[in-house]
Amino acid sequence: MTTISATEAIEDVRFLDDAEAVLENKTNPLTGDWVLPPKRFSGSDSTSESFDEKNKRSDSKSVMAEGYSKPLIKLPPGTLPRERVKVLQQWECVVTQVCEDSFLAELADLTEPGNPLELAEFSFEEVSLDDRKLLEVEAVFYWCIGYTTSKSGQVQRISEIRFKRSPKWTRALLNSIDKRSAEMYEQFSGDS
Amino acid sequence: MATLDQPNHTTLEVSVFGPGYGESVVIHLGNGEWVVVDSCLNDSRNDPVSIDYLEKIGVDVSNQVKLVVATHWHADHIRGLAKLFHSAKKAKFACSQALRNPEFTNLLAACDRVQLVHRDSSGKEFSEIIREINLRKERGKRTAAGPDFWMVEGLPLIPPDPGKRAGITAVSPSSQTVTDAKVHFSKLMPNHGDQIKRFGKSSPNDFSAAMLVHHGETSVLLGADLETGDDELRGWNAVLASENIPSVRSMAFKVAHHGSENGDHDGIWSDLLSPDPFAFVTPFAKGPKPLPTEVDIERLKNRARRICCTAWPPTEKPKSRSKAVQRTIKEMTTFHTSVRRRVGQIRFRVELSGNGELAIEHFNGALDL
Repeated sequence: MTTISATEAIEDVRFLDDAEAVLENKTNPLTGDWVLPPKRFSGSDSTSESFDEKNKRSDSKSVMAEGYSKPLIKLPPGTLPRERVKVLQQWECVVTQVCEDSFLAELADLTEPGNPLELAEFSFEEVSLDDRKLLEVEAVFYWCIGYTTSKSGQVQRISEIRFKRSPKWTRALLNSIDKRSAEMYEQFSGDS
Repeated sequence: MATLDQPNHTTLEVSVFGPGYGESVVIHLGNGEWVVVDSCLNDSRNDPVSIDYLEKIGVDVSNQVKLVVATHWHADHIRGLAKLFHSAKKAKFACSQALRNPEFTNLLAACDRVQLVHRDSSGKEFSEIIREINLRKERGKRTAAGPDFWMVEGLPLIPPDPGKRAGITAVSPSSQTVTDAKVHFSKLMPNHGDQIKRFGKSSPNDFSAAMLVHHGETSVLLGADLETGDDELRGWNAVLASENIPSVRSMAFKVAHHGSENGDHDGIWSDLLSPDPFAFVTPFAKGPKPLPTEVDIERLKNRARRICCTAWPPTEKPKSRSKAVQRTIKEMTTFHTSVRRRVGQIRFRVELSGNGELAIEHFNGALDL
């Protein structure tokens, strides 16, 4: 964890009841490089300075509001190392046959869409357990090859197969089709 | 060496086009009148190969193409068909009578509404054709709504004009197939609560419209993707039993369903074709086993004088990519190939009178098997 200095550029400070819960909550609107400062900023630490002492020496950006134990501090973008993914190649695939322990698929190149259709056979083992129940003829999946770079800088080549989770036909969707179908039938069949 | 040029006015030409996946047949009936049956895209995948070819040999597509036919609605037979029909301003449109039901338009509307896979085009091509037909009607360029011809066994699409022009007659689908089509398409339609997924194909494919191109004793049988099932009233069984189709024996056969066993029937060779006919095949690379298989090729060799294929083999080595990607593909797959893109052409020409030599030429990689 990067040591935070009260004098370094800090973009924003928020004071929340439970800063840790906010950071863990993936739907929280706070995005970007929000961090919790190290324990020494906690008001509950018996060795830390008192609230008043901290206020005297700190600038406004690192002042802790009374009653809150930990501020959330936003650092400038790119300050903290992040995991990065570099995609080298992507396909949109459709399962054409399911065999005993493998499946065949047709692959449409999404990286260079002008390329011809490809055909490939995969082992079931390449599909995550969660996705296996989706594996059937006409199922759509995406295959992505690339590199990930971890926060610590470790580079790893990745290959990921992810099945598309399609929504279900709703009554509203089917009704909209009925209406369109009736128009098309009148135009197509010549019957009014 | 054969060159690409326009045929004489009294020459019947049947040109069969096909890459590893896709098929189109371009026909010169005679007298500068052309017909296009089905559609696939050219090498660069941006235009129908039929437009490419016709423009190359100096044919005015907008005026000289008289009829555009969709034998059925599978993607490998209709890619680019809407663009072709749009370009062929004077052309009439024909498709299988088996598609004339609300259940089929239900499927088209569903394809329009939900596109699961970005390359999936079959529903959209038909929808575009319907729009084009409607547009022409609104502009006063046609009076009838819908296709000009709903193809069913025995229906003449273009009558022959002796000495000047060959005719075209549909030999399928059968009346029974048309009747059963409603039930078939309704089963494909999803219900409330079903997962949205791509629509499957039916088997056997007996909705497909096969046809005869004929002038007197000169004729060519175009098999489309018609198959033979168990039902005597459908598929090739029905064609062979029909009393509504011209009783001519064809000297050449665009083999049905990419040479598969399902698309074959002994009766085709004994009753519909002359002895030692020429056979033209378009491959199908996408299935579990590419068609025609080695067994299919052997079978066809025993029946035909000469088997010509538009593209062989139907698959090729995939495009080269970076080392990291190539390595990963090798690790992840037990098999990886690419559908052959180059569109080969088999050109068959014979005088309408049947006199004179017939000529078969190959272009762009087509070859004899």
